[in-house]
Amino acid sequence: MSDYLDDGPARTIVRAEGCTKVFGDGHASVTAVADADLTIRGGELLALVGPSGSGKSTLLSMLGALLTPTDGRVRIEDVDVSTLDERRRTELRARRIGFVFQSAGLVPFLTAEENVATVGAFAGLPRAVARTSSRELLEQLGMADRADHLPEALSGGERQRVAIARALLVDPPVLLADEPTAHLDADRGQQVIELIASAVHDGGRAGLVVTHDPRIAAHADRVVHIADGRLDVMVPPAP
Amino acid sequence: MIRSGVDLGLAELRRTLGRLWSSTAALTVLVTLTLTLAGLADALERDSTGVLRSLDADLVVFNEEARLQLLRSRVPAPLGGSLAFVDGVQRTGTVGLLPSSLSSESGRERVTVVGYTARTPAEPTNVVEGRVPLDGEPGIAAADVHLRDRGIALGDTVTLAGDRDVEIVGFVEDTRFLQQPTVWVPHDLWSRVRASAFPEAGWSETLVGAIVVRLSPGADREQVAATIEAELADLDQDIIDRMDSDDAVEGIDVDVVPMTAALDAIPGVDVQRSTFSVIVALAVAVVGMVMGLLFALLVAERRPVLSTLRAIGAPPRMLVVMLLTQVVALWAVATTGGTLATFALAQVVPEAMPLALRPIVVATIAVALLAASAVGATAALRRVVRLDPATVMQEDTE
Ligand SMILES: Nc1ncnc2c1ncn2[C@@H]1O[C@H](COP(=O)(O)OP(=O)(O)OP(=O)(O)O)[C@@H](O)[C@H]1O
Ligand SMILES: [Mg+2]
Repeated sequence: MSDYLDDGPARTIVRAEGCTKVFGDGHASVTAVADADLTIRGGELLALVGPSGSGKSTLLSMLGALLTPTDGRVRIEDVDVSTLDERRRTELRARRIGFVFQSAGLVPFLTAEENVATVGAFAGLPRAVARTSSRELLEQLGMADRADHLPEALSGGERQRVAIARALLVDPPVLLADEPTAHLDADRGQQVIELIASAVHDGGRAGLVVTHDPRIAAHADRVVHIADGRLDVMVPPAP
Repeated sequence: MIRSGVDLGLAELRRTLGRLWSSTAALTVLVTLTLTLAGLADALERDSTGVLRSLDADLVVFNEEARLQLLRSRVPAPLGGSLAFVDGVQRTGTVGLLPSSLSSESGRERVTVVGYTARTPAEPTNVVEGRVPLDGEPGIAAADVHLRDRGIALGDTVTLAGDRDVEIVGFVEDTRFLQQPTVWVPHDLWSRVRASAFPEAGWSETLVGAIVVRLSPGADREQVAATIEAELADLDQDIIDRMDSDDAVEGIDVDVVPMTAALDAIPGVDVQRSTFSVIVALAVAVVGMVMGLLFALLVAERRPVLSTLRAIGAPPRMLVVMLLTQVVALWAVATTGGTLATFALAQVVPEAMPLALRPIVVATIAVALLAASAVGATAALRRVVRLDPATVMQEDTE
């Protein structure tokens, strides 16, 4: 267990200690995640793998300040997330965490570029910065010529790229992705995971990607297994 | 560029216009209905009460048996003068109303002939053309502009009650009584018209309808009313003697009421107002409910994307502002459309339907509609505030 907490050469950005989430109470209670210890360093991409219902999304939600642990604590950089109130957690998510979900979750009535730039308003990014950054990001992700399209005019893979651009706009230290390739075919899934991996590696971010797909997991620096809410063996990345 | 909830709300409206078109149309129709009802109620009431509203007076003195009915009230004319010395009274005048008829080249119609004392609070204030007769001026009258619309012009001679010829020297506005236009004449002429109309009542120059009182600035309405009632109750016998006592003076017990109470006592006004208020309130409530339903559906439909926005750091306040912006925008569009439609309707309805829209009515209804819309949308707003960002993991928007 203590291996997970080892601080290596790079700075530890995400640290979960004894992180537990119990839904409901009494007979009906479900322990979705039990006593999870986990650290993610800057520039490190972690793959979280496990069967359906094993607690992957729940763990990711706690690391991303979407859920408060029933027990244990989560630290993002210098902040103990588990003690924050809802307003501060919202602020923390806006400023320090980039999310990519299974569905892109783009605002259907905003163009690709507006979808990206709007996040700047959540984090208090100056208007001009948000505008130039969103253009640059879309260009880096090969979406420059799609910037003015509404999501309905984009393919699933393109939407997911816009979602990645949106997640990176404020240059967050943490990038969390929950099955980002589930809706994509193998090729597009591959492209998306490569984009995520390079965003983590080049940006020095702490990355966590939840996936079922071993080919996706192959891009990770570490693979963590979860079953029945318990983190399991640490598997070195496939060759 | 999107920087705020307002931007977000407007962007959604702009880019999903097609989807909202039918809801907006439905809301506009409802607003038109509401404004039509309110305009109708307002016009009906104003056409009942114009005769008193056109006076610059604060209190009205009726004889007690009249039970605040202008047509039934009879007070001795000299009483008016005797009240001029009561503390807090600035000026008094007398008005008498008489249902009658007016014949002219363009035909015959029912009117109310109003006798009044010139240069007193009993004189109509909204003169739009010419002038109003002075006391004792023989054979002239001022008429409600409604009669001008019917073809009577300045200088025309018309016949009152079938046998009194008068020349119209002026027109006054908004002076109707119980939907009928009024003709304003000096008291002596009014008494003669009354004598022709009701020969059995005989002719008397000293019996008039009601006394109207203008208060001195700062005077207390209730207190002056009480003083007047008391003074008239134990009036000196010699004043009574001076009052042509052959006439059926029904004592000098009087009711002194504020102008607003006198207006409310005009037949039909109260009932109409309460009936229409209920109907208009219901119409406003329906608008609120439709708004509420519309936004509940909108939020339900947008739930996945709204919870995604919450998850990636949108403060709930921003989403609330987004929704409120849309409520206000829809309200503004529907209210503007409804107002225009009602104005258009007012131009084409038959004259018998007194539909008119005063800015104050539009403003009042608009405010009520906005409030109803906001209340209607609270359920949707609450749902947005309570949206749990963690549910984003369960959402599937594709
Ligand atoms: N809000 C909730 N209320 C009650 N139980 C929940 C809630 N969210 C998750 N669970 C339960 O917690 C367990 C873990 O759920 P979680 O969504 O984390 O699994 P997962 O590994 O992400 O599964 P999948 O691969 O299907 O997405 C499941 O048994 C689930 O039913
Ligand atoms: Mg999951």
